Amino acid sequence: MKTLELRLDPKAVAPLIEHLRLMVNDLSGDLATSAVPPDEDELMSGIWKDDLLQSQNADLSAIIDLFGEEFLDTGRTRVSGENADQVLRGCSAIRLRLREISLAGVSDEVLEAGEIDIEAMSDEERIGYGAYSLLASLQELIVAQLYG
Amino acid sequence: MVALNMSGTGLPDVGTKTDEEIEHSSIWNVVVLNDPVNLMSYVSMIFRRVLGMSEQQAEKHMLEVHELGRSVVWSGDREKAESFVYQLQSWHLTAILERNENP
Repeated sequence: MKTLELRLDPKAVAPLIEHLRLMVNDLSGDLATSAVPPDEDELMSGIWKDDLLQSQNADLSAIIDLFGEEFLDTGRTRVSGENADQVLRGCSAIRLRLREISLAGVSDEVLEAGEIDIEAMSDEERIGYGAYSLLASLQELIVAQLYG
Repeated sequence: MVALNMSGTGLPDVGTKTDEEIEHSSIWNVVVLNDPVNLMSYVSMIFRRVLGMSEQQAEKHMLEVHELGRSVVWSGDREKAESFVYQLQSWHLTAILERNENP
């Protein structure tokens, strides 16, 4: 599989990365989706959710690594076959949480259509939407370049 | 030669099902529900990779989820259906298991 190298201005995206970290902390111990287990048995449902949570934690670690110290120093980071799946899933988990917390005031229709009025947003919403868009772009790039 | 006699053994009665009932209960649907967050390209890719769909099939089901709110992406035995639901949920899609009422 190919390797995707990303170059960004670390100073410009630092507030977004900081916001991503807050979302990652918020997700610790909590699944990004409701993830209804198919089994009504309490024990089996617990195992199901615990396994999903472990998987999600590994995905979130991949995002933290991606935008770690090396990225903040150089503005460069890489996605390859080794971390692509985890990065894709981690982006999805964080975007779902951003939608719930930072973008709670935006309707589903507006969000899906991408018709966001950025000028009308609060600072927190803007940063949240910036992080949400950054992760979406990253997912699009990975899907197109590594799985296209 | 003796006939198997379960009465008086303390074992619970063994229930019986007609062929129709067995067929009715043994087919399960994996259903993916729409969400406003996950990207269309991401959802299509997951359908291709997890469910082994062709690009055209994946696109068709992705659009069904997007436009109708849900799509039955796989049908079959419960164990395999559960495995698919788990994998789809691990990719953060809203996937559920439903009994197929019209096999």
